[in-house]
This record gives sequence, C-alpha cells and structure tokens, in this order.
Amino acid sequence: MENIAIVEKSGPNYALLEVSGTINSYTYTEFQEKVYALIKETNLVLDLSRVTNLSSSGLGVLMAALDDGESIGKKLYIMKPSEIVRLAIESTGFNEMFTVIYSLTEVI
Amino acid sequence: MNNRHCRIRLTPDYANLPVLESFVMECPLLDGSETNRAMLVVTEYFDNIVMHGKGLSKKPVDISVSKNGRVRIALAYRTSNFGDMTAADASAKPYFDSVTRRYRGLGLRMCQNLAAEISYRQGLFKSFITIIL
Repeated sequence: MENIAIVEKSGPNYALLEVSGTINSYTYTEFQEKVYALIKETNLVLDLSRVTNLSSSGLGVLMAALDDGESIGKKLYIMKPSEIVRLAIESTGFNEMFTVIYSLTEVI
Repeated sequence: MNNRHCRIRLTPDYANLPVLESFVMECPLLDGSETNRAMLVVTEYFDNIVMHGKGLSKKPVDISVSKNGRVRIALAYRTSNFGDMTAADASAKPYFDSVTRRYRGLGLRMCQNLAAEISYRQGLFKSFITIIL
C-alpha cells in the first residue's frame, strides 16, 4: 500500500492539496507542514477523494488548521471526501465543524 | 489468513502501519463498510500501542480479525501499563497539544463511536483489546 502523495495547486483565492494514500502517525508530518503553511496564506481546499485511511493524527491536524484559519479569516474546505474519510470525521462527532464541498466552484 | 480468521503479527513500530493497512484491505472476511471501520479502529489501537505501550521493546502485537455474524478484532500484546490505556479510554477528551501542534485524544473517541463493543482484559502475560464492530 502506498504511503502518502500530496500535489499542490493554486486557484484565484485558494490553494488546493490533492492528497492520496494514507494519513496516519507514520505519514502525517508532511501533510501537517503543508496544511499549516498554506492556511496561513489563503483559503485551503483539501481534495481527500483518494485518501485510503485517516487516523486521529490526521484529524487532529485538520482540526488545528480549522482553528488557525478561523482566527485569520481563512477557510478550510474538505473536497470530495472518500468514504473512509467521511466515516473518520463523523466518528469524532465534529463533522459539523468541517465544510465539505464537491467542486472547486463552491469555494467562496 | 483462512476463511474464518485473518491474523498478523507485527512489531510495534509506526513503520508497520502500512503493513497493517494492507492486511485489513486484503482480509477476505470484510465487506466494504466493515473494511473501512476495521481499518480506522485497528490502526488507531495499533498506533496507541506503539505510542503509549511500555516495556514492549520488540515484542510483537498479534492482531486477528474474525467474523461470525459480527466482525471481531482482537489485539494481544505485552505491556506494563495496560491500566493507562483503559483509564484513557474512559476519559478520552480532545485537547490541543502544543508540542505536536495538533489536537489529540480523538482516537479512542473515534473507536468508541465506530465499534459496537470494546473490551479490555489483562491476562497473565498479555493484554487483550477486543473490538466488536
């Protein structure tokens, strides 16, 4: 099984990270660094459609990035979450905190 | 693996998380929804064992998946602080950890919500975590 691959792209008012593979304690550091750096600068869209596992380490990063973005007026979007990502987020009970989108046209 | 059990023995090391993920993905007993829930739960507990287990050195963690109507996942390992795990499970609350710069305390909460039943048992030599999905 692959570990993690992250492709960075940019749009007019957002940065996009296309993430594939698994976000767990073994792999989350690279993901964390990119997410924290980008949310300080712009709205951030995370395409998680090809994520095969999302552990509490990865969820902890997402929640901290939500806080960081909110404090400076930037938004974090979860785009097209895979079934396991959706399940992981729901299992925390914090799913209402996350903005889930299915197209980049939904980025405000 | 056989048609009733899938088993794997892993040393407690984060580097084995991809191996464990492959094991769950390839377990023929699980359907799609069960695979996702099993993946989240078993990798979370293995992660906790690696992070918090004491006195492990390189003693292996035995993981088995079986299905008799419901899916049963069992982890057996040696540790000297099993009581800490069970206490943490009872009081799991998310908090921000300034060292790792992320929220923690989410894993056991996830497992509690994904499982129908979780039980802990301290045996004579090994500690056992059993999860029913």
